[in-house]
Amino acid sequence: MNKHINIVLVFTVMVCALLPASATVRVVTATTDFADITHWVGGDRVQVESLARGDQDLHHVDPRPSFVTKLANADLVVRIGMDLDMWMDSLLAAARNGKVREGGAGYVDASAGIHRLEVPSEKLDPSKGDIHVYGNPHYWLDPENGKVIARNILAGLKRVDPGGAGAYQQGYDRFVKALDEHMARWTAEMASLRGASVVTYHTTFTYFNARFGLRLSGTMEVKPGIPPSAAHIAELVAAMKRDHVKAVMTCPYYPTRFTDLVHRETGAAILVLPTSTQGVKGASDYFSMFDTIIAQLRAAQ
Amino acid sequence: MYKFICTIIVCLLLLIPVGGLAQETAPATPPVSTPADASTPAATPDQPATTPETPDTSLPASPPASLNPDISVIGNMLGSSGSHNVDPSLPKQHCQLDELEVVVGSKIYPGVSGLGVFTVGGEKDSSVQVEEGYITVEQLLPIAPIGARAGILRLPFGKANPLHPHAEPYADTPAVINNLLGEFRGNGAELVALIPTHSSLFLEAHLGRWKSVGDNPEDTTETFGDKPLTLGRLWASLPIGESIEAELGASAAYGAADPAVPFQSADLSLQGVDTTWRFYLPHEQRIELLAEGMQRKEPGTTSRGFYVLGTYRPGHFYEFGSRYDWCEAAQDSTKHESYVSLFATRFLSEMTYLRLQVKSGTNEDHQHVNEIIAQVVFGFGPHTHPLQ
Repeated sequence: MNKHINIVLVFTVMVCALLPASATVRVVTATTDFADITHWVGGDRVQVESLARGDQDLHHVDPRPSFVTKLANADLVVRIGMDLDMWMDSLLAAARNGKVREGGAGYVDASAGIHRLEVPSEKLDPSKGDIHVYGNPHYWLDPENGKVIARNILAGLKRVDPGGAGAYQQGYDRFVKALDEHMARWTAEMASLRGASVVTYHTTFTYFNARFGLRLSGTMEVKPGIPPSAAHIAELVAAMKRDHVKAVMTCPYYPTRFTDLVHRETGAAILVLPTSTQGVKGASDYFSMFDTIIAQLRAAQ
Repeated sequence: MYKFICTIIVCLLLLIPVGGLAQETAPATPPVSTPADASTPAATPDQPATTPETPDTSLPASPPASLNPDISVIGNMLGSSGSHNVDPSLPKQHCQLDELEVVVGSKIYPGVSGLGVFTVGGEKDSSVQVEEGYITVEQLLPIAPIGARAGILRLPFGKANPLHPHAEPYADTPAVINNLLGEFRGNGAELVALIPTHSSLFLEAHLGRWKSVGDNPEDTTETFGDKPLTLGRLWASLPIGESIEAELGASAAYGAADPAVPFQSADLSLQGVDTTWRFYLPHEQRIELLAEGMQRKEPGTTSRGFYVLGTYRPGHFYEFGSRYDWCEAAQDSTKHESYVSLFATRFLSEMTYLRLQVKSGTNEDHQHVNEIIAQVVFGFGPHTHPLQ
């Protein structure tokens, strides 16, 4: 009998040894940026997946059934909010996971607490383009907003895994320290560009430009989401010559037809910049994404 | 059986608050930035604004709260011309409003949403119809990924039937849907289960009992009384790498149905299979290949049909596609029709687009037909669809 008890005990100990010391928190993020920041905060306690790829236009992510499976198994979901990732609504509904439903412990809207720019104050309709009622949603492109995103993720991780609160706080502190160090360097590097005029394809870089003092001369799009027209490009070229614009900030997923035309007419450099981590080669994480953007802007001036 | 399922759903609905309150909830108010964390962007007076006309950082961080539901309006204008009209429902020679759809939807309780879709049929029919009206419970119990829908809705049979006309990539309706399903809607309830697979395999099952609803629900009731229709669907999807998603679906329905006059039947059996392959390419390009086939059995008649569809989307603003239809007549399987269609779509926005479709083939009377269909869809207001 004792022999049997011993065998059972040994077997139990072996099984326990094979189990992870602590259950991994499964996190699904809308973007690769949030995935990277979650890695910083969560460390080894989290397993993170991003639904969108870094080179995708986050306005137009195709909801896939396989995303539902990821959300169904998630302990924490980190979404962009501000109506940019409305494609997640049908996915979350299909996932039938109460933990990550809005209001659930595992639901994180990373935009909470963000100081929003371009919040419309007038009546909106589609004639004004693809305007977001909650304001410009590309807030993660201000590196300082990385801290707000990280704090929202920290709060979510503490809710779903209170046992790891200390580790998450340490991860958050490490991220903020690293961000501050990078920020000091980026600010110095961008100092010579403060006040410089730029053109962007979409209003993607509003937060970035506000942070580093770049002045917007115009956008390639007629209005947000409305593609360029010949008449608009003619006006834009005139404005660029007047404002001595040396750089057009575009993204990997926008067409090059009109930017090439603007380059021929004005000589301005066309900068294909990442808008998310892994958006272009070299932008392998949240910090190197800004390194890539700043390096290209400096080279163009 | 029908009453039994409804009773179970009602009982589970009554349990929702218990499950909902048992969960820890995230704070309703977002955490407020502390002054020390420098989270405020540098859009301060000492810095230039990025867009002279738009940034207004003095506004509150959130728009005022509102109890308004999401309301959207979608108009579908169609016109066709050709040697023979393939689809008799299409307007001939001139463009006219085929359907105006008003959608009102809202969350009505945590995890519960309601949706009403009202249509006006343009010149064909000026009366307002309830196209769909149902509530969705995302999760009946916290411990299992099982939800429910109840009300009037386009039945989840195959890929094309649940789609609203404006969400289809073509201007007309595939022959197999017209012939074997018609307007396949039902009034009843279903359970929807996401089956846990512990892998990346997505597996969803539908099982419902419906009273079939055609254009005129009263006719159906008079014909079949309360005879129900039982419908089940199994839908699987598997990602193959980062760029390919493969889907397989199987649907079956048995009972009394009034898909559309004159195809109503008190003893109907429908089976369908569908497969979809999506290829996600760089620079927002997408290729989709879809095939759907079905069989309709009634006493003394069995009819079959299918369509194969391919679309290519080079970006956000254009889509090109082709479809091949082959289908037997619903009540005479010795007759069949087949068509090839080519279509091109120019999207002005997500909900507004222009489409041109060219269709050629042979109709049930062995006549060669050619047809050009023009479509203009316009929409405004917040509008989302369930995952399909």
